[in-house]
Amino acid sequence: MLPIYLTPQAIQLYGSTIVYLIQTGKLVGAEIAHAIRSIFRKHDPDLTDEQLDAIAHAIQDRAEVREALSLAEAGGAQ
Amino acid sequence: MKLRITFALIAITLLVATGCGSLPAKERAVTSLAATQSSLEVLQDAERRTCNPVAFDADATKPILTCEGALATTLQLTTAKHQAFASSMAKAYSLQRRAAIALQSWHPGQPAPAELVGLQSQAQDLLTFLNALAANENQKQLIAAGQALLTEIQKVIAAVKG
Repeated sequence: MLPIYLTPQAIQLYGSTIVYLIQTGKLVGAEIAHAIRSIFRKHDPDLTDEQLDAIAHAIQDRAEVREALSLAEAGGAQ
Repeated sequence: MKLRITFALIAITLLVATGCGSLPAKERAVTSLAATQSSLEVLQDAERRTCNPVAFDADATKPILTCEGALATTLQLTTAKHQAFASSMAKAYSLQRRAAIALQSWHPGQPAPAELVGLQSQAQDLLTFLNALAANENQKQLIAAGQALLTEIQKVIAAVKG
């Protein structure tokens, strides 16, 4: 992959564009995280395997917490 | 103004498209799985807030055990339905948790973790549930959140199969 590095000015421009789109309701839900992530993805080199495993581990933890909450709410419907 | 918004959307779309297309498979899979987790939480919180906005706004981290209020009534979201939805969400989170574990040892070229197919099926079940609720604006928003979830799961599957 050929990394594309954005200048701080470009990041600011895209950042303020995203904020504007959120404020005007043009960017909603998961699109927001996706758009923000895309900026930093361009600015940083590829993630290492260790970093990816750490992210996956964090997902695992978040899912575990939510699973417990869901089971508590499910009550007799489990 | 409309032209500027269109330009901004095209610029962001190009950014996202080029970024996703050039990333290594494992990175695409893990970042999409992170987005899937966020989508699961957004969908669940939307349903929980509809079920009982007072309890949700008081402390969203505590289990919501009964559906009360006008929002739930108009959507015909009963406590029993909320419990069934929570049960489905628990299954989805269980698959998501196991998919996150599987992805830690997954390498490009290996078969896709089986949990991802199960997760996709579970997301489709959640959408079926949402479609069965009373049709109104809230239901449309919940369905949109469910469809966003399904899209994210499909991105993870595409990444590990690509």
